[in-house]
Amino acid sequence: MRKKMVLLCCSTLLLHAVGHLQTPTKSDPAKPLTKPQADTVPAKVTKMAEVIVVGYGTTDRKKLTGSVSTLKPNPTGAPPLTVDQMMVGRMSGVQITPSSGVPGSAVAITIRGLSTLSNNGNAPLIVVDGIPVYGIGQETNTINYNPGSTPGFTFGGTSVVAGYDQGTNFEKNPLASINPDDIASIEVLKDAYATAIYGSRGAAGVILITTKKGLAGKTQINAMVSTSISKPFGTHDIMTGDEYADFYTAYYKALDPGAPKIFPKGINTNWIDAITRTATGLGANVNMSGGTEKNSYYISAGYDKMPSYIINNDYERYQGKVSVDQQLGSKLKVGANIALSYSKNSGAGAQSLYREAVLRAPNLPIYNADGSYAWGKGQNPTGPAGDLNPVAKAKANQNYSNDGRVLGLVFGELKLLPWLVARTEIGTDMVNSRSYSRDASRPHLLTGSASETSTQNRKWVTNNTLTANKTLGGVHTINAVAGQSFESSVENTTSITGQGYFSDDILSISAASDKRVLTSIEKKTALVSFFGRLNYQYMNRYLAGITYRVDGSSRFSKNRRYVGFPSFSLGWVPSEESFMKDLRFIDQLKFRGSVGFTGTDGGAGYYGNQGQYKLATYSATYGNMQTVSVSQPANPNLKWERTHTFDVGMDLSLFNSRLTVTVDYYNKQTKDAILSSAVPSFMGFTLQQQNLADLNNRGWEISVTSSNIKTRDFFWSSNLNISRNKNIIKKLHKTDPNSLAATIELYGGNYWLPGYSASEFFMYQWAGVDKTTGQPQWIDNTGKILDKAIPDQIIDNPDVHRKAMGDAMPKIYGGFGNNIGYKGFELDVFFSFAAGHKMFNGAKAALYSYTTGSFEGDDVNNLSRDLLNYWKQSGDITPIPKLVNNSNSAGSFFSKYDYTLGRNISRFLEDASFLKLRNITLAYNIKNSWLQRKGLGMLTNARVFVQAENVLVISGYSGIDPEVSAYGSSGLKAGFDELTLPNPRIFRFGLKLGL
Amino acid sequence: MFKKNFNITLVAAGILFTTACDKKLDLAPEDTMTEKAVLRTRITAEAALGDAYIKLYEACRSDAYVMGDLSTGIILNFSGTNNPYYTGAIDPRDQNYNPFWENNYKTINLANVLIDKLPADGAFDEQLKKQFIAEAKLIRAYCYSNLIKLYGDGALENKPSNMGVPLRLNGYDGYDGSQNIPRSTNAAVFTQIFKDIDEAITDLPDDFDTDLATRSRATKGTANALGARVAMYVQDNDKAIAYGTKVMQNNHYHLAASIMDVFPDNTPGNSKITMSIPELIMAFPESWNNNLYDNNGVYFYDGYTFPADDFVASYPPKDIRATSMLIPGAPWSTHPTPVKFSHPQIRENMVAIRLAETVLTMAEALANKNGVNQQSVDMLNSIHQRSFAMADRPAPFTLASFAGKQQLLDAIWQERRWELAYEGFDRFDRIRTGRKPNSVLPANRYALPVPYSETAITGQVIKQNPGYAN
Repeated sequence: MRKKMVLLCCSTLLLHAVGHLQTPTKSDPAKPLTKPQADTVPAKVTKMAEVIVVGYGTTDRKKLTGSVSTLKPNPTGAPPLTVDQMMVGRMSGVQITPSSGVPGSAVAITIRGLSTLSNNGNAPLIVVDGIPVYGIGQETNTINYNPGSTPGFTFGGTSVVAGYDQGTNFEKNPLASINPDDIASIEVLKDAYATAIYGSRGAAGVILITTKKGLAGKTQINAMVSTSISKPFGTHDIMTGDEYADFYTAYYKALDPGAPKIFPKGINTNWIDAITRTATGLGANVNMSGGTEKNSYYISAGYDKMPSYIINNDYERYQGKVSVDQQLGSKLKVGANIALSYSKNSGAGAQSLYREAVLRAPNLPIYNADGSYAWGKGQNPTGPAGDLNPVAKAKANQNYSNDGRVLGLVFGELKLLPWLVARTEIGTDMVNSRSYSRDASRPHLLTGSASETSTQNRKWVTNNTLTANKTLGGVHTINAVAGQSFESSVENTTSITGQGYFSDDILSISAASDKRVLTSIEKKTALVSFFGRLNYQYMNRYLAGITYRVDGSSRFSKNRRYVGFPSFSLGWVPSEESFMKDLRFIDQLKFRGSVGFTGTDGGAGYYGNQGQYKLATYSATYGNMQTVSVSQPANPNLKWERTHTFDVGMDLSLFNSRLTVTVDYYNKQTKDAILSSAVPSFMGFTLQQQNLADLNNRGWEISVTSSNIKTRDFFWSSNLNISRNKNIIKKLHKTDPNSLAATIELYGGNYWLPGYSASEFFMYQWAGVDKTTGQPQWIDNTGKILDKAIPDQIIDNPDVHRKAMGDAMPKIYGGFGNNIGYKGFELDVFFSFAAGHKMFNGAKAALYSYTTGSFEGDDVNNLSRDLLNYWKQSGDITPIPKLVNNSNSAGSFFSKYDYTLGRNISRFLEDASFLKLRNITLAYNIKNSWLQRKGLGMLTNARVFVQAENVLVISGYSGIDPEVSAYGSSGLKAGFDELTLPNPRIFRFGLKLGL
Repeated sequence: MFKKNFNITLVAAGILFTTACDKKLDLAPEDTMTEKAVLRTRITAEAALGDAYIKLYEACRSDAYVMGDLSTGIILNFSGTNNPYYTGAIDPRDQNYNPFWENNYKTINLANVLIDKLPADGAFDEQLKKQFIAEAKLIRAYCYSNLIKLYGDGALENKPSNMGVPLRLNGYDGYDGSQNIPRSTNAAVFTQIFKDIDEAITDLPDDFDTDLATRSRATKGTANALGARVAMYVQDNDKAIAYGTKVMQNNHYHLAASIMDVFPDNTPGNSKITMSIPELIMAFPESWNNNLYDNNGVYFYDGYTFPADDFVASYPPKDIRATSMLIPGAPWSTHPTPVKFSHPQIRENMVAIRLAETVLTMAEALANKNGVNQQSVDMLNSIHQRSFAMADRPAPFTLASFAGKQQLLDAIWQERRWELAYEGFDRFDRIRTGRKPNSVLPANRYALPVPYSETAITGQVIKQNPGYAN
């Protein structure tokens, strides 16, 4: 009877698939490294056999035929605020760019290059303890903290042609709600063999985060407390009030000698100083774990306070986690794992405050004589239309986001046979967020305004798996998993806004006299999957594997709903062959190769490609008629994208694992990438998603770890990884590439051309300033020098004159670190680097902009001190042209422009290669004898440490921090520094205790 | 025992998951409706029709509204007569001019969806369905009349076999290149326009239950008035007279006693063009968008466009169209604004067809056909006389005022230029009557260039107009 049941059960599960995690069998030489490591262990040394987590299971690294990077964090000092910061530069093939210095702000993670042209498609899938969670992406994580604001009616005016607008958006980092202290390991799946088991979401790579679990043994308690101070990494060099006044007085004189405008001198406000501070933070963490043969537990709690260095912009986080499991009888194990996180981030507006402070006229005071805030243009003859005073805004306005998140999982695991385990797990990811912003009364907004956005995202995931581990005849080993998964997500958003408060003390939007509901919507998706993996090893010498996954997604229309993703791998371990057996210093030499398919559903909308009608924007009516408007045309031809990856690699382990080397080469080919592309407009639409693009990413990766010296009193270990990636768009449109590239750019994409990278900069070439005339010089595509802006004088497709001038994504990136211990001291130094890429220094462009304005007045922004050196007379050799020149115009009211500062000009494109000392920590372990003398004998260890993050950067980049991105998590939009808040330099002092 | 139950549970769970799977992937969006659902009920189908009207408005607003007068020096902008409509210096690749084309085709697509699919998908009153389809046909005819006058190569110059515009008569259902169609001839496009107008007349109502609807939605009167307008594009006097007569006989429409009654001074922002005034045949109500910062794109109030001095000087003395109808606009504007567009936020009911146009069209068609005739003279008088204060009125025209047919036509054209100024007719009136819009616009640039995207994406299936490189 029992046998039959098992059989039935197997067949059901095998057919329909589900699940995760193998139980380590007795023959496993090591247990999974899920135990919280004692902090005194310098765990930088690789273990003999390393168990690593892969999709729906675990494996021994020695038998692995896919490409997987692993990080088992064990910081000498305190971990950084978020998981991603922990990973920067430490994992080959994984390129991570923090977007800005605002705590909790987005991060761009690109694994093995940009594989698709949709903004949401390039973020890796994130899986926590087997449950795919809400991950990185602008769409889900961006809050608009001022959605009700309308730009006001400014008429005409000047702008920088192809300039930048600072929005009222803040993109949050979803990884900030995972406690870095709870992480046991991070695995990044990179090649097809590793990622294909995640099918339609695997193309951009997969990050598996495994949290700590309890382990049998004595109860252990670890606690850490640290205090930090953070400061701006640097600030921009801008004019003082007097310099500013002189400059603009001279400019307006040059503009119109007949009607000079005099800017008063005497006040020198340093707005940057007024808005920045040295922020003091605090981190505290405690965890406790233990267990018996039958059960185990892990409990942790954490608190972090990490204010930004902009005044009144704070970040606080509370976290807790419980993980338990219980053996019921000899066959059944059940467990649960729940992590809670709550954060309050009031730094959403930090970016725009900083920008405002940098650009605010420095000859204006912060306060009026009566102590009230000074708005407006003061005594200046002209000034911008809006209300500017960053100090007032920072102090009087509120702008925060409170986010709660629950990551939960319960599982049951049944050992059906000694070699066969069935597992069912149900997991959830619940995100609850309230963003609130309140603008206090100010001259153009006398009654104030407020907005509030509530988001509730709920995801349920069920995984059912059946895992088999069997060795037959001592030589044939099979590890197999078959499973099924069902995932559903519901996302609710409500957004309201109000204006008209009679007091700044009233916060509720219900008290506003004029209020509106901006959004109230529920979005749903579901994914049904079946998958399987079969690994076969012959004598540990020959390895082979196959995986297959079928995904059915609600994002695609019925006729294209299901798609399958196969992958295959082979491995050969010559070190197991008889001819190498004698080379005792080689632990393992393994060659492996894989090929397979993955996909992405990031380009598809929530409800796929059905023709859709919505209530028209702002509920337009036509006379008395209600209206519904087409929001999306039917698109029955849209297909899934497919990424085909080929990977060959080598793993080498020498001298009893003292030295390990992993090398990989890959070639990743994306076919039919979804791209919003133009259709002829006589069809009634101008853009439609089409399967048009082919992309290619090629590259190699090397990572080395070495335990150089290891004696009783002294150890020294090193690690290094280098990755190289080259991205090329192979095929794009059917017709004239330049013109369509310009169209796509206009609609928010990049200027994409086949034969170049997806993040290539195409720029009009700037040739400096003519020293005789002071005119800006431009070079057209024939090499001819022109002294008038190309986009201005060439109407007929000026874009052909743009030249590919470099990639925003680095050619080479990686990191290296050293960990040295002597007696009780430990020193950890880690560098990360990236090279061969470009950054658009939009900060500089913004600080060079003196012509813009609107009808109500000119912006007269503060400027870089570079501008003091503008061209004044024939013979001046300077990069700053004559103030009034052929490429800008401040003349006729309707035709003011400035072409010299556009985001499509090589003038501000700079090499962004850098080497950054990311972390340096010095720790001292207090001797046990000393502890005992002081009556602290219950402590098993005690450590004090000092630590500095983002200590120094070596770079040719003239901005402050080459590691920022104005467009958050979007890899495609990397490479723009738009006065983006530089990362903070953080100093910490802390104490770790174990008992 | 325990194990046994557990296994059974597992099996049950497995079965449960699989059977429910595919259904769970059929998720319908909450805030949106599919096309079929929209067309099914009267309310939503009517709402889609409402959107077609809004799209028609969008195709007619902004530069599309003023370019006809910018082309002939009635109005100027900051660059004087050096504007591209005047000089013809428009590049096919310049996307600023794409909306003239795009917006009409957007509207046509929606009209096509209604015309094609409402008969089968609509589950409501048959008569009402017919009416909605008729309204959609009129909207489609209106858009093609916009397109043909802007893009048809020689369309207004009696060149029926030259290239018109692509005639798209089906709703959008994906694009993969096979939908590319060449430009139909001018004759084919005009035939389609009249076919739509005639079919629409059958099913359109005489009026709706409110003045607002009667004068903003399509009625029999609207269709006839549009018919008269388009008939003059092809110099078909009989057709113009036939359609025009129907409008004259329609008791919903009367000329206002004074043009000031049609266009009140709206500079305070609270006296819009009244939608109940019987001179209006069709106007776009400004309710189209609840976003207070959006507007109809006709910037007289701010002085962005303004009446040309020499044009204003061309009116006879004391003509209120040059005196009372030009008033100060925004405080910062150095030019007067016509009362026709005097709302400070540029949000005004926008006139599409009014009776004065049809009256002058009739007068012209009759003069073309019959030479100097009393009916034409009366019609001309009806417009000319009311343009003066009672005390200032000149002696009415008589048959004797005109030496011949051409003199009568000249007077009608001149009156049309004065009466319909700022409403965007002049360029097309001049072209269709063989008069140059201005001295610099080359004849091969009477038609605008087809947007580059069309010729490029279709691989030259759609061809460029002869006056342009590509």
